Amino acid sequence: MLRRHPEADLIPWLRGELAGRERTRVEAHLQNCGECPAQAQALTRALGLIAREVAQLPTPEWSAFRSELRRKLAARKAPSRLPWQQAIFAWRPLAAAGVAAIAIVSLAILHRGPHRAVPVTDQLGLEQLAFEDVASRTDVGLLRDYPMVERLDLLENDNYEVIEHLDELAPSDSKAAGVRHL
Amino acid sequence: MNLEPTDEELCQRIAAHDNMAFETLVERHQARVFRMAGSILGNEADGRDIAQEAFIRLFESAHRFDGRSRFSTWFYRIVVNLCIDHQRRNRWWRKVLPLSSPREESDEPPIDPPSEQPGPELDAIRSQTAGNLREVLKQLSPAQRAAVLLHVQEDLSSREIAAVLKCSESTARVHLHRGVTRLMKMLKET
Repeated sequence: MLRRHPEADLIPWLRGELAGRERTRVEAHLQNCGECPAQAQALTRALGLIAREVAQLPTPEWSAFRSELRRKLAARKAPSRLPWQQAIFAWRPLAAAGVAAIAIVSLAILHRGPHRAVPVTDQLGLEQLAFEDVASRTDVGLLRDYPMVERLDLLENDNYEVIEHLDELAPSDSKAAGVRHL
Repeated sequence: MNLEPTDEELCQRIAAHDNMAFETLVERHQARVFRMAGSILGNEADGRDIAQEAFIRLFESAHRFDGRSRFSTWFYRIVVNLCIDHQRRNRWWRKVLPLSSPREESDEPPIDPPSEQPGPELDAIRSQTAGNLREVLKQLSPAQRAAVLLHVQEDLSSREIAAVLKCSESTARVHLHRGVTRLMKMLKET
C-alpha cells in the first residue's frame, strides 16, 4: 500500500475530483503514510500562493487592448484583394509551377556551363567550310573562265595592276604573267 | 435571477456575427487570457499579442464550438495552442539568445520518479516575494505552466486540463503535480 506515493493524484483528491476506487485508494494511502498528508498540505498552500501571484500580474490598459484588438480584427476581416485579384491569385499554384519549371530549365542550362568561345583558327575554318559549301552549290562554270595566277613569284609588289586587269590580258600576256585559265 | 448570458450563449451569438456579444466576451475573459498567455510565454508583450490573436480566432471560429465541452475548455485550448505554436516558431531565436532554462525547450518533459522525501516547503514558499515566484514560473515547461495556470487561475479539473492540453488525464495530473512541486523546490532554493 505504501510502496508508491500517489503524488499526481493528490491535487485532484484535494479538489474532490476523485471518486470510487481511486478515491478510496488515495485516502487509504494517506491514512498510512507519514509524508503524503504533509505534502498535500504544502500543495494546497502553494497553489493558493500561485493563484494570488498570477492574479497580481501586471495588466495592460484594457480599453487600449480592445481598441488594438478591434483594429487587428478589422484588418483580418477586410478583403485584402479585389475579386479580380482573387481570381488571379487563384492561379498562383499554376504560376508557381511555371516559375519552378523555368527555374529548373534555367538551372539545367547554367549547369551545362558557359558557351565555349570558338578560337579564331576554328572560326577561319568554319568560314572556309561555309565558303566551300556555297561554292559547291554554285555553278562551277562561272569559275571555269576565271584566270588564276600560277606563279605568284612573278608578281611584284608594285605590279598589283596586273591582278586588277587580269581579265583584260591577252592569252600570250597571260602566259607571260604565269596566268592560266581554268 | 441571473440575466447575464453564459459564455456558451455569447459564443453562439458571435457565430451569428453579433459584435456586441464579442465585446462582452472579450471584456469577460481579457484579463484571464492575457495572464494565461503572458504567464505561459513569460513575456507580457507576446502575451498581449497572443491574447488578441486568441480572441480573433474565437471570432473567426465561434461557429465551430459545438457545446459538447465548456466554452472555457474550448477557448483555453485555442490560447494554449497559440502559446505553444508561438514558442515553437521562436525556438531558433531563443537558442541564439537563451532567455530561460534549457529545460523549457522540451514540451513533454520526462516524468520525475516519485520523490523519496516529499516534505513540506511551506516556510520557503512563505518567504518568497511575488516577483520571485513569477520568475520561477518561467522555468517550467510550457505544458507544466499551462497545467498550473489552468488549475489555479481557471479552476479547471485535471480532466479539463487534459482536454485543453490534448493529453490523457493522468498525463495532465503529472504535469500539474510536477509543475507545482518544481515551483516549491525552486522557491526553496532561491
